[in-house]
Amino acid sequence: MGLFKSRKIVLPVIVLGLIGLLVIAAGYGCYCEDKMFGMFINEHQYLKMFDINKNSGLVGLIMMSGLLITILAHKGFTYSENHRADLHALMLFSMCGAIIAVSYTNLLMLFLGIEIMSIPLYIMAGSNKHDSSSNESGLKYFLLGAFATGFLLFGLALIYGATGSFNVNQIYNYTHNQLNVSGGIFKMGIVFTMVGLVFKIGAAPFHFWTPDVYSGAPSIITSFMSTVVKIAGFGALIFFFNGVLHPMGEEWGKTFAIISAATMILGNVTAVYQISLKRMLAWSSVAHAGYLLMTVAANGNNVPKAVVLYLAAYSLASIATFAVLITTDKENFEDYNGLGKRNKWLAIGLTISLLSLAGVPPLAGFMGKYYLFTTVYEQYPWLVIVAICTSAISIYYYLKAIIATWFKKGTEDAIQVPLSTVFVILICILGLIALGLMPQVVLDLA
Amino acid sequence: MAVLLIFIPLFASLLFLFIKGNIGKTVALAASVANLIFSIYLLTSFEAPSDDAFQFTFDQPWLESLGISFCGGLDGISLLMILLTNLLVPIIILSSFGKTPEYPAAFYGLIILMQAGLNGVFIATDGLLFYVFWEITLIPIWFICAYWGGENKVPVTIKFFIYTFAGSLFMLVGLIYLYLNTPGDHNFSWEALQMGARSLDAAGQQIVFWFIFLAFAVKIPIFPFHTWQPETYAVSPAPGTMLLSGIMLKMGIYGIIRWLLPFAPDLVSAGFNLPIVLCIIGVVYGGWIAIKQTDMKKIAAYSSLSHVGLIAAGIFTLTIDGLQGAVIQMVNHGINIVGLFLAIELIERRTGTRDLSKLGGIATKAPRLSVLFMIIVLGSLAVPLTNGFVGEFLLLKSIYSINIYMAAIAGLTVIFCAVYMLRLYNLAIFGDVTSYTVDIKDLNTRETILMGIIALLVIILGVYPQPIFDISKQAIETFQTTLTLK
Repeated sequence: MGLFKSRKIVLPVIVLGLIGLLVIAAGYGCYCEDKMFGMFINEHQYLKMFDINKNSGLVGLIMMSGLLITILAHKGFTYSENHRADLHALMLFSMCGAIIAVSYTNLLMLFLGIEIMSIPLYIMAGSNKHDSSSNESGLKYFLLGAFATGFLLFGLALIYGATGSFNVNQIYNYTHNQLNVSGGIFKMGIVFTMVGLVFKIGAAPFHFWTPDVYSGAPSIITSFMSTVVKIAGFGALIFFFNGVLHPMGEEWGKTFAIISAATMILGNVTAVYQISLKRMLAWSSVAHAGYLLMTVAANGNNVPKAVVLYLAAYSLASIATFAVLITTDKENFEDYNGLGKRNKWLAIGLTISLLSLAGVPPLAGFMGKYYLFTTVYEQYPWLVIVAICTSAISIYYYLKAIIATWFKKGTEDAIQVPLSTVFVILICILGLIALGLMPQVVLDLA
Repeated sequence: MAVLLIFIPLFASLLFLFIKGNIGKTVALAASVANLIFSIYLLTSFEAPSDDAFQFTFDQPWLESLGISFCGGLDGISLLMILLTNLLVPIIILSSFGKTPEYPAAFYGLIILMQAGLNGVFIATDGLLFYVFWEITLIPIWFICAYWGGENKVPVTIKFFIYTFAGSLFMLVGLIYLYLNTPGDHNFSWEALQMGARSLDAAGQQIVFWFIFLAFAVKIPIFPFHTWQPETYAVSPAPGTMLLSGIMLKMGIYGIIRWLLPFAPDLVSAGFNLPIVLCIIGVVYGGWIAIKQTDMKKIAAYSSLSHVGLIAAGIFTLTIDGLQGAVIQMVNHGINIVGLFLAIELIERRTGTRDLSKLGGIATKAPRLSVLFMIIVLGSLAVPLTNGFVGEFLLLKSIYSINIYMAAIAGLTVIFCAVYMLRLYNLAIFGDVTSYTVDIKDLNTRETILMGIIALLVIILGVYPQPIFDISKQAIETFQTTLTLK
């Protein structure tokens, strides 16, 4: 895409292409019964390097989010008019990596997927060349990301050393047959892989990069990072731990429970103190990673469903929120004072998506949380209590944004919203309401 | 069929997105009156006694694989709550006509949306559906209070929101815990949850009880979860206060009867007195503080705290008298407290103040207001032949049957109430005319009709409360026998 410099044609071409792909994927998905998730890995022989059908729910989610963000980019890329096409190309590369990362059946592909996804991201995070915080964001993301990749690679190498294979089936058999495995190398490998993947999804104690990178990068890139990248990271993490390493769940489950609790508490409590909406969203995305990690710890049969539903709700709400952020091009809470008077529909969109993030019924966020809690409660009741308490904290900072939009006085000049953004917000809001009323649609996907 | 009670206001509230300006009033009134008419129709076709536990039922699978369905129905208790809701909402809407709020379309749209949620809460017979409606009611009322409220509204309403939201989340955990204990492929229906509760041991029932109790205790509110209430009532616009105190609070009491006690049957039927003690502390505490207040709205708020404490205490006695008294008092308290806040609002609209030290001498200037206000005050005082009497008598009697000392302490509510209500009335209506009340106008026709309706209800329900007994008798008796049966 980078070759075509004609700016006007790029967006429609990509959008049409993505829609076409989605239609093909959906059509293909109807024919194939093969919607297996990690848990049942032993019933399947994965000979290829990766298998898209394995995780069709998450792949669909990545493509949907990517599509919405691409449409949003019509307005979002205005900061770099000359490099529109390059940015689109980078985003597509990154999406491609994300899809590989959720559908790997060979650990080599896991690594490649994560790398293909990350490298364009490093560039995109720093793509606003004249903005120093964007530069900082790009550099920080690159340095820390490379560091984490090192851990991941090292971990995978150790696992290869212990099991003699990269194939998921063989590793599964290895763990299955040697439940009392005390092999130091293998466990070391798991720990390093865990570090690498937990870094990618931005959970404690490897979350420190998230607020800086998210708030420094251009908003459109942040929306991409907090949705597509997070989906991919979780897809990879869950398939690895709840699928490949499922038999060893007892051993790593508690670790994830603690990571999850720490992430929820840290993310939510810190988000309360932010004065910038964008930074608050960054911290809240840390918090949401914590909620999702609860399911990884639970390691039950319903995990994939819970994760897909939650991620769908979270992505739609995030995209809508960032769409508002991109339209106003402002970051602080104060700048949103009186948004309700400046553009009623924009404010309604922001309110609904924030309420969904907070988990207020009947929106999708509530259904996601409900399903998550039900899945986790049997194994880790205390974790659900932590989640409840932190949810109660989280409502405060979401309300803060809503209060600014409706109840505070600010400038009154009306905001013009481009048609593409209106479309994206509308789709997201309708999606949030529809998923809240009929979550069955997504649950059947996973 | 009862499902229409949800959908009429829900669709009506969607209309408000496209309405601008004052026409909103008319639409809102029309929608709420339509609901009132429909609920009166339900009342006339309600059979008491009947063979079915619930009438006018509907049942539509919603999330089949999770055992959640969109189902509901009415028994005697919920029918009364529905009638109360749909009677009070038009009154509340009418009462705001004299002082049209900013952005009327949004304001009335939220009230109608609230009505849909409230009806849903009283109709639902599925645990998750109940929870969803329970939360839906919070959003519009929060917007009403936080947008159209008075001074200092933002911190106060945030506290209110977080308090109730946190309480509800704990209820969600309690419900999930029960749900995971239901037999077979788990199910969220009321019956299944009850079966699940029976299979729990003592510790399990404790968990369920306290988690769910928290949500209701915040909403009602029961001491010591009441701290959000007086301030929120004081800053909210009058219709918001009326919705909160008249109807929304009843959600909590209704919740205790339907969604709490049946889920911890062995626990509550074995002399479980701690909640009663909490309620009675609230009764005394609320009454005591009300005496000291000078803001009329705060007096009414604390009086509400005191009155509902007594209602909740009566429910926890699990006697027929207590439950019957609670049901009848829920209706009466709804009518009385709305009447009180309406009178206070009318005085504030005319004089610009709610401060008792600045008021006085209204009796000579506005006789109609004074007389009708008097009737409502007498109703709150539970004077015989007004509506408050029957309920309060039954409630005290039920507490007496549990423990004589508790009854004696709870009985203080009658004395306290007389002190603060008569003080309020005395200081505001009698005495010397002040600069604020010099040119106060008497009620106009619309206001007279409104206050008249409420005063009439106070007297009718006081003289002849039998219909309420007839409607709710069967539901209460079935409920009580299933609970106390081992």
